[in-house]
Amino acid sequence: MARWKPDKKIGKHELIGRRLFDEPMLIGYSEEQSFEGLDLRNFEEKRDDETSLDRLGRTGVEKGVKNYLLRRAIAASENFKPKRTFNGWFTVAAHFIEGEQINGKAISLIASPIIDEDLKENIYHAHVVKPDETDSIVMALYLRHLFTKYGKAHPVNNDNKLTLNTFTSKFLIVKNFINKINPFKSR
Amino acid sequence: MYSPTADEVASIQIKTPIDWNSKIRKPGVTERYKRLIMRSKKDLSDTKLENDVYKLSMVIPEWLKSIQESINKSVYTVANLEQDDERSINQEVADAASDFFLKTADLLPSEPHIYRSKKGDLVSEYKTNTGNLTIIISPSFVILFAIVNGDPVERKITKLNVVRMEVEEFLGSLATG
Repeated sequence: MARWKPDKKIGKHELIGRRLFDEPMLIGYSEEQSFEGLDLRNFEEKRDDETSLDRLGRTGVEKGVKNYLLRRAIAASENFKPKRTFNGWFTVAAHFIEGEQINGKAISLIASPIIDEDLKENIYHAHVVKPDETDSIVMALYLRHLFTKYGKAHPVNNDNKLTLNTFTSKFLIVKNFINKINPFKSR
Repeated sequence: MYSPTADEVASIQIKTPIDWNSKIRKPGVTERYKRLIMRSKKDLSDTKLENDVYKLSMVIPEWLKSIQESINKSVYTVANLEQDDERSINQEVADAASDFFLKTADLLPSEPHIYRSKKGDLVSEYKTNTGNLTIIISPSFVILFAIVNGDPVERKITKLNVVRMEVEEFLGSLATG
């Protein structure tokens, strides 16, 4: 079956994912206090006002799309200095993001395919634009909230030959925890 | 006819140090002690405002010291400044974070989990009875962000001289929903 060719417009029920990489600890911190939640840095953008996302399927994660994106996510993880581990995606249906507001200003979800060579290409790329006068860290806080409230984790597994670290195991704990407490799962 | 005073016939008496054995003291001695005690009471109200006298002292949580140490150990050194691996913070952020925790530690709901944001600020995460609380600390502002009944609540504090009052008010509003 041919891989899905995404439309220019993002469908309401499309599954939108944010890539999750392991994040470093402070050099002087021994993590005495664990935190069962998503790391805010997974929703921060360092470079600009647009937060990158992947379109993982029309109504759910599509296998062909996932494989296409996985190779690119792993390549991206190796571009970090030092290298990081790609742990999977946290996904949410598009309609939970589109039209959501931050302090009265709506978030826009836009399809933005990247046309490039090899693994730099990403025809499933999308992004949200930070509303004017909103701090980038506040944008990250709101996005994390939306993904946590309405979303679901899609961790990558050993079949993908990724290095699993302690973050991944924590990630699974978080997934189970969120599934348990999230009253919106049935929506 | 001799009529005993109420003081002499009372079955129960509340004695102060001045009253104790006062009958066998010389009047001058008693007066001298009375003056001393009165003066010491007077000193208290002369040197302290009423609000200061009745103000509750801050109970410092046990975790404060270790968090302060973690922050201080995470300040950039010459070696890790050149290649930023996002594991260190600059001195201004460390100072702001130490000051914040010193002023508010007793108000915070639990020991924080801390890390550095991508832009260099300090992120601290807490568990509360109603959900998670996140506090972002930078040299010029503090952001408080919490989820109440499923909805986000946010406050940005730029006047850091009133940070304690703002945190207390914000956390109070979370408790009452």
